Amino acid sequence: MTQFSSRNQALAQSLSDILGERIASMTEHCGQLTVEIPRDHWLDAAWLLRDEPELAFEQALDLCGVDYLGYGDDEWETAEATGTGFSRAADELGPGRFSWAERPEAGEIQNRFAAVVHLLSLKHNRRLRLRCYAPDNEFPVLPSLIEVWNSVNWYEREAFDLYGIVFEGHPDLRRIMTDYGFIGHPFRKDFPLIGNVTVRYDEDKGRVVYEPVEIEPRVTVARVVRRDSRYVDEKLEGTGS
Amino acid sequence: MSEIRNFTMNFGPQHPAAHGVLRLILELDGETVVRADPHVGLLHRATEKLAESKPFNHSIGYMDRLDYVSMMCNEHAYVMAIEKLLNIEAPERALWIRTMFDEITRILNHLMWIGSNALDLGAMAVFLYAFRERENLMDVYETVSGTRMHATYYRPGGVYRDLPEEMPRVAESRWRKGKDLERMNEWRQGSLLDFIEAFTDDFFDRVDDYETLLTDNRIWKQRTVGIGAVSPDRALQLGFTGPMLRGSGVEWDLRKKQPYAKYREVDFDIPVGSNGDCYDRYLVRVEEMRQSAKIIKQCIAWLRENPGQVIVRNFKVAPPKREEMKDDMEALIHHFKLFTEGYCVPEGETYASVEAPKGEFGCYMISDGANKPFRVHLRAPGYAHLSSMNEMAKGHMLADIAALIATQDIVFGEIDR
Amino acid sequence: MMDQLLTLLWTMAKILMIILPVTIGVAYYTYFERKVLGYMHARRGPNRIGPLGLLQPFADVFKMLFKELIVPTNASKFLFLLAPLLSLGPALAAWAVVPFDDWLVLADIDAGLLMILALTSMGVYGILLGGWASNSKYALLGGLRAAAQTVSYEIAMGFALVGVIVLAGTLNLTAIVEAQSGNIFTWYWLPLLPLFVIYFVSGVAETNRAPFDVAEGESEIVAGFHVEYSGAGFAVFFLAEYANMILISALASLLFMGGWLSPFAGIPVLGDTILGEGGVHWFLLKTVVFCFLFLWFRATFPRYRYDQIMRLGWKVFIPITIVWIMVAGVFRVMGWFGG
Repeated sequence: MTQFSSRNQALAQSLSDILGERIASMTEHCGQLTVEIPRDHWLDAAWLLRDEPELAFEQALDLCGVDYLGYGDDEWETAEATGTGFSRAADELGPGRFSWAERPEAGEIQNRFAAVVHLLSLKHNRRLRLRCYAPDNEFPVLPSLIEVWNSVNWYEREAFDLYGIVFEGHPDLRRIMTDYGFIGHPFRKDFPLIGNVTVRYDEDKGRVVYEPVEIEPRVTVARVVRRDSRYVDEKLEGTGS
Repeated sequence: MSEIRNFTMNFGPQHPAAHGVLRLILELDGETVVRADPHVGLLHRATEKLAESKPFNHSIGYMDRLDYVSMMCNEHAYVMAIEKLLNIEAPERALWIRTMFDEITRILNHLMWIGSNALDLGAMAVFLYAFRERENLMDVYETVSGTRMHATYYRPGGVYRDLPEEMPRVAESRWRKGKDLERMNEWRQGSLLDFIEAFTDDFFDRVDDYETLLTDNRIWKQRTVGIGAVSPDRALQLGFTGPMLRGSGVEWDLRKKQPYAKYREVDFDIPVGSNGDCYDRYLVRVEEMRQSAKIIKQCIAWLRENPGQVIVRNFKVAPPKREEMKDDMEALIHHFKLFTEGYCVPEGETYASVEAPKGEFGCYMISDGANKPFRVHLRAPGYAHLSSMNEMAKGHMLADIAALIATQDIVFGEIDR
Repeated sequence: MMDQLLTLLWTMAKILMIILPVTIGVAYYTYFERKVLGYMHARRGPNRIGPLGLLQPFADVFKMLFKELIVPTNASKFLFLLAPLLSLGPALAAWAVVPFDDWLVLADIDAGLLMILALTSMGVYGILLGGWASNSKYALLGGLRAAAQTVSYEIAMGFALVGVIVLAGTLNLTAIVEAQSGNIFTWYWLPLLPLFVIYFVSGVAETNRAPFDVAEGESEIVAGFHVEYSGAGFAVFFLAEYANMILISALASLLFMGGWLSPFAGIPVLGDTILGEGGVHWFLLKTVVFCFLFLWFRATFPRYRYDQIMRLGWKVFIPITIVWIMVAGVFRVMGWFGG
């Protein structure tokens, strides 16, 4: 338990005491604890987190889906000098640059979808982040936490709508953000930024019609990942006044 | 005889009390609400996805457009998340400025809320009085950032610029002249801080004005007391934060419990309700306005005494000064790199939250080491509040729906994101 | 034959002479309202059209008239168009029996008060029909609310007037005013103070004005009964509402505030000057004061909820009026006031 900062020490201890082998991993970043819980223990871990007085996470403030497709990919190699200019060097079909027809194949990545929950304990004044990966990339299913924390109701609907993560046991898993009759899950990384269809009112037909989107995919700034020493190892200089 | 059925009614999205684009499907038994099913998403702009395709700084402006009546608080959460990932801290003066503007924003938001809440319940005067005060605060926004609403004033590592030494004055026109003009410009003779100080000094009386119109008004009480009561346990379960939670009697305010910016160093109280009904939430918010004014005064006092840097001198995240760019090649390169490519944020994830006027506004950010966030999720307080509409509305009357929407302080920019 | 024709023409002329000022009064009442609300709300009100915005009402009228009259697809067209007229008709007809001065009245009939009661209750049919014929849920709710509200407040209002009748011993409006003659303290507002207050509040409720404007209830049912009306149809409803407001104000000043009588009459020194003379100007002044009250209420109060209005009407106003009618009877028998 030495890898955690002093303020998270106690929480990490009681987490591992109470949740035991339900924890797949526990990490800390920016002073915040993240606990990964396998799908099978998702629900019972949630009950323990809420009801054990030592943890007492009364509130689930937030739940969101994450799509890890393309994590760490860049569009423009900057580690080495390139002979070509930016327009040719940048990957043509990088994030946000493709249309519906050219959308990339979701590669075989492990644990593509996850649900992330942020918990708050008013009693202990602590926060905790939980993550649970949905095992099946094609049809991600997770147990719903709605019984434990009623507040996740709409958040789960949103994650379902935007990422297609199905929450088993949710009584009312309808789409929430997108249009009635929308096709696809727009926040997935293989869904084009420009969307798929446009909607307009057709005078002649006297009704609303759906047409393929006409705008060009256009992202002005390339996605660049720099892992050189200045950014990773050193703390940035010039902080404070 | 035919079967008697409840009838459904489409409340919104084009409705004067829908606060934007709420579509509420109401199932009514006479005028009593049996079920309320909010349909949201009509203002969904996919801010979170847009943010994934842009360098970090480009999305600050989007944050203003989320909860468009508490602009800078949204920026604050987003900027704080980036700062946490970059492991930088803004200079002290910037933190004080942020504290002050967070509170100005809180007043802006609460003025909007008290106005629209009163208007939804039929009291028109309060709305216009509140907007009179709002106008002054909008001018403050405009003076520091150039825009009245969508400021983009907070930046990772500080704020865009220092407070101006001069407050712009109202120009003479056909409609504003003579005594009127003099009165309008009375506070605007000095610096921005002078103006804010004059405003806050006067503001306590203005809050009293609103209270004389509402607090003891019998009709107001009949319309709010006992309406939409939520017990503390339910409030926690439903994910309430901010005044909605405090109205139910839970003493929880991030500014006190998990202080950020300079809230540790200012003195203020947290008002807490007891019954969790619309009236208590009204009282809580009105008192919060006074407390905010109190905090602003403390910030003004500090800011007057302590000039200094307002943004980090780290050209990887913050641009160098214009003058420096004129004769320093290095500065020019930094400027160019920053504005074309942005900065890369080390790999990691964080959740930063502020006590926005409506509740906890959080920003969950995952960075994979690129110059754009991998995933941004914004935790909007109104989203959780609105999801409880069915529970709060059940058994109340149609007219109370307007009171409930108003008390939840719904703004669609943040709910639909 | 010629005589009859002349009488007819003369009557028509008299009707015009009343309707025209009333219509112009309504136009300027809207202007007055916006200016007063503007003043109370720390804003300006109309100030662009004409000097001080004085031509604004006409601009509004022309705008309304030239707008498209939209009839909703599934509306009952005949009733939909009839409804505004049905609400305007009674609002104007009631003016026939209103005396402006002891000689200035179109129809000096004995049952004047009864006619007014009858006509003001007619007005709600227009609203109800408009709400029903629009085939919209909001409009229907508005119509229902208006009907329920008018029915309840009609009773309170009627009872309040019974008090006046008891004291005056007549239904003729001119005679009622004459019966109050004396000075400001012999007017009926004093002995019938509770009835006076209830009459005026019920009047506000009858005309669906704030804080009783649930039939319109902007933030609840959008615009209630006239949500589907546009252009001229809306203008006529609007006209009817304001004509009714002026009517209620006129009646309040006739029945309780001594109509055209001067408040200074019978008071030494002041009463002997020109101020002591009665006349149309007093009547108009009193009416304007009541008209102003309507606006003041609107600027200040939040809106009641529908069921709270009902509770107020049935459980507070009606019992009070019944009790006070008895008290008025006692006054009459003891000869303290009236007769």
